[in-house]
Amino acid sequence: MNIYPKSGEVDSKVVWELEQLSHKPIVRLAALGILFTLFSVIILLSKGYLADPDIWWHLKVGDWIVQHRAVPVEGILSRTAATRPWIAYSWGFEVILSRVYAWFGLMGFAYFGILLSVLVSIVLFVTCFALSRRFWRSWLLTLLGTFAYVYSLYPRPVFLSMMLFNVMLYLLLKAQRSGQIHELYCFPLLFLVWANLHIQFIYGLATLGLYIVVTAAVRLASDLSLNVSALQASSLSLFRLSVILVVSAAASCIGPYSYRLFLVVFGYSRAKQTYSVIQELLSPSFNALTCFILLFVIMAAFYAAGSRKRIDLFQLSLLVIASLCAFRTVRDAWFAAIPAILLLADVPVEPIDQDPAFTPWQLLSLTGATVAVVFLLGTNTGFTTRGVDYCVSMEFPVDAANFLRRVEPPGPIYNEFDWGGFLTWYLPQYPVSIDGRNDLYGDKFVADYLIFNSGDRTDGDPHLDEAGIVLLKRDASLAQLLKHDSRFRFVYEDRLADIFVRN
Amino acid sequence: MIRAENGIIESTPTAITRASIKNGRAKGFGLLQHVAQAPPARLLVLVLLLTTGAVLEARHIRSFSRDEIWCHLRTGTWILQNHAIPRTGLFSQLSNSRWIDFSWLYDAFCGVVYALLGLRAVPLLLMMFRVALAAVTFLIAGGRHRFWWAVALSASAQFTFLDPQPLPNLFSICFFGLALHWILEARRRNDLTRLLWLPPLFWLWANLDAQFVLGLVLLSMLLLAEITERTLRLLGAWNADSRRIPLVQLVAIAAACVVVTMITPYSIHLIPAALQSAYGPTLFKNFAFMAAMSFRQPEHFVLTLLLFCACLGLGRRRSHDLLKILLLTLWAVLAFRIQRDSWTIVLPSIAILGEAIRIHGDGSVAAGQKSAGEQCVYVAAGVAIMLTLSFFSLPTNQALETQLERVLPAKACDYIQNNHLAGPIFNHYGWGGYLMWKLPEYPVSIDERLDLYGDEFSGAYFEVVMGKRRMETLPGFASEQMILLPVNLPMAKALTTIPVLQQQFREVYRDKIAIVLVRR
Repeated sequence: MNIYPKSGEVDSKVVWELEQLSHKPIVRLAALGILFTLFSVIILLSKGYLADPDIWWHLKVGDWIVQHRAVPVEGILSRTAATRPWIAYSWGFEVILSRVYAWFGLMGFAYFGILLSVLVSIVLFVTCFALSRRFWRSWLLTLLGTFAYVYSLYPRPVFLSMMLFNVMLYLLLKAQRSGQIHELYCFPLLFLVWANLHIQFIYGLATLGLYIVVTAAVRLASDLSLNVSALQASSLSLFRLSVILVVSAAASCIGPYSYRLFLVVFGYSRAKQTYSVIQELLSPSFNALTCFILLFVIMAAFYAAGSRKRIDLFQLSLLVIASLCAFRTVRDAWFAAIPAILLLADVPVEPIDQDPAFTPWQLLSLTGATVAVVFLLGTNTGFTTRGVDYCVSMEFPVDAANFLRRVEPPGPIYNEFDWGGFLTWYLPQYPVSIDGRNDLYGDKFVADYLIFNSGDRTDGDPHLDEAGIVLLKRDASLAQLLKHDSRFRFVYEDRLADIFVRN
Repeated sequence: MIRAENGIIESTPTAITRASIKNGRAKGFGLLQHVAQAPPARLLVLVLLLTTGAVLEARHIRSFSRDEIWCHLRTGTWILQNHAIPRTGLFSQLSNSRWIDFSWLYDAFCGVVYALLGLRAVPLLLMMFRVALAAVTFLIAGGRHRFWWAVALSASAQFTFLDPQPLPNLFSICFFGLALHWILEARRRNDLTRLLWLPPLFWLWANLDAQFVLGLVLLSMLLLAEITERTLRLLGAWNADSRRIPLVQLVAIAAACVVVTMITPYSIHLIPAALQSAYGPTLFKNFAFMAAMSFRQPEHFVLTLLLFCACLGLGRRRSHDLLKILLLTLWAVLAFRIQRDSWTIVLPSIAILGEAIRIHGDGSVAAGQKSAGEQCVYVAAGVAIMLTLSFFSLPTNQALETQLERVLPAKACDYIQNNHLAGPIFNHYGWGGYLMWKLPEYPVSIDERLDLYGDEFSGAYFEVVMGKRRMETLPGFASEQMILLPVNLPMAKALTTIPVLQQQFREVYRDKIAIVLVRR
């Protein structure tokens, strides 16, 4: 008698046992813990929370707002654009950042960056699970989504836009599925908060507008007896949707800058040259795996959109528009990835097949365990006050700025574009010649500055001509040229920076 | 509803309006449909599709905008003169180094056409390539079975190849398209007959362009898909529509394709050298065309939309065809990573999209149409007429030379020749090919044949041009007596403005295009 089971039986038994295992709450909790620990550790190791050149001017602007109890209306912290009008459109985020630093120092600042990144992934998981009610699908989609868009940027105000857009889109899809428009009544409040945290609330408004336009178009086509049987029709009231949109747009004007936020959007929409020179505004380089994950997630979403019995024209239009935006500008990868992920999650499941939600106790223990593990890992990977200081000095010209603080040569300063933000915070006595606030300096200013900064031309740069101090990256072409320029004296060099002062 | 006195139910006014609109629309559509189905209209549109690119080339000559064509012309002329295949770096200062001319057959063809027609041969070559590209894209997008969709897809695909040049890589696009078409047809019909064309195609391809390796990758995908599907089917994990291409024959054909690529003047050295030539690290480091698409040009968006539509089409059919999934994913990786190879995703996308539309739609050939052979004759005649007319509208050779003087250093070359300046010459990379053609007596320091120069040499050259290293510190360039550079290149500015460098070189010629310096 053959005592060994046939191979097919063994396979099916293994599959069955694995399936049973995958249903156990402890396994799911562990999987979730591993996922969020992984995300935290990646950010810890990449030190992205401190490497962002722009986070420092956000911090300084937050300090300025708290100090003056007002929001800025012109180019504070800058020498070359001090009198230009400027709107701190992320003022809410900047105040939070300023307080985090004031209360917890640089360590708290770093923890805030990590928390912000992980929160984006948590929101993605929660919305995926709420839509699909399938744990493992949500787990996988969160993993893919996080790699597709979270790591392409450093933690900054746009992370709040990612979360709020995620929530908004989830509510919209849920309302569409259930036909209950009252689920969207919270939109004005959402937009009120969003508009005071980050400028990309406009993407949310545009998405809602797109939903209305597509719904109206499908209904019109249906009224004209065109064949729209292959399209999914929304049952939400067009009138109420329009009212929600109008009220949301009005709510986004409730803030210190009121309607002027829309002027910033208009200004950004007209910018051209900065989209050719600023790294984060360029298209994805496809040098990293994350770019390909984004591409594959979008391709999968198109496949999923096509495979449905009826095509949801809103989801399809949003995918098309958002993916073209994402490929144009790597900063907007999230705008395509979130709809793609939610579309992949948005498959209704029979109640009997739905996975149960976690209990509060389970979630509490998961959070505690994850935080403990991350903390342990963090302290062993240089995540200490000393380690964080070291990390900042590896990225930014701390030693060079200390030299200038000590020697105090007469200004004004001409600085690297990437270091402007850091200098506003660390060397406020020298207002910068440029920093990451493209909307303050304008399209042409930034493009011209970068041309001169790259060393293509040294003559005729007005900002260099009037500079008393020039602080440049050590390997910059302009630094090589200035070593032969009789107008300046080479006074300092270290691993990162060269300093020249006017003769 | 309004009930009439005689009891007949009349339509409401709204319903009447809608009915009349619908009726009018139906009449309008019917007329359009009639015109669209008429064979003359289709033939006319097809001829226009095939020849628009060629006509545009005849009107706005773009075929001289890249330097590589000159290298092919010069090498082709050398092949015809010497009745031999080049094996070392002709016309280069590295004339003793080993070099493989991947496109020797094309070069020889260029040489023949140039000998017959002079400079007008160059735009004519591009015109013929454009017709071939249009034909291949039309064929793989569905051809006459889904005529209007195929026309639209072919036009979109051609739009993504917006600036093709008369270079051998266009053979790769055409041959890749043909191979893809035959592979998909073979799988659709479970018939290997079409695949028998692949070995001769690969033999020709291997003698025309280094990117024949992409064809081998395509074949590998087919084998991978077939083997994986069979394995999964055996395990009971694959229930997609079953295809049964005989695997043994398929493997034999694939092996034959690999073997025939070695039947070239360079035998087994060809494949590794081709990979190095097409994907060497120097290319990635120094050339924008090896970077990802910038998404600042409309063709990049069109290409992306084609890919997404193909995914949508695949989803609409709920297809689990592993080959198609592999085609879309793997070629997307290459196309999005290297913009030079972006065409590799365009062809699978339009093939899959065309098939999805064909299966989803009626897929019929218009009733009353002439037979396929008869149509081909009409179309070929139309294309020949258009090409001939376009060719005769080209400027004369003399006029073309005058045009070239506006963009290439023709006058600087004349100056060098007339004054018998002493070499060796240090030239701009982008002019190497032109100098080979114009000044064959001065071997170039570098040109587009980076496989000849190697990564180290080429890397050093680019460092010199970008001002990171001095010329005299590199053995390869230390003995250069003359420098020919574009007038607005930063290196040219540095040589004429920085005193230390001015002491070494003296400017002897300058025009709007080029500057010539000689060692003091």
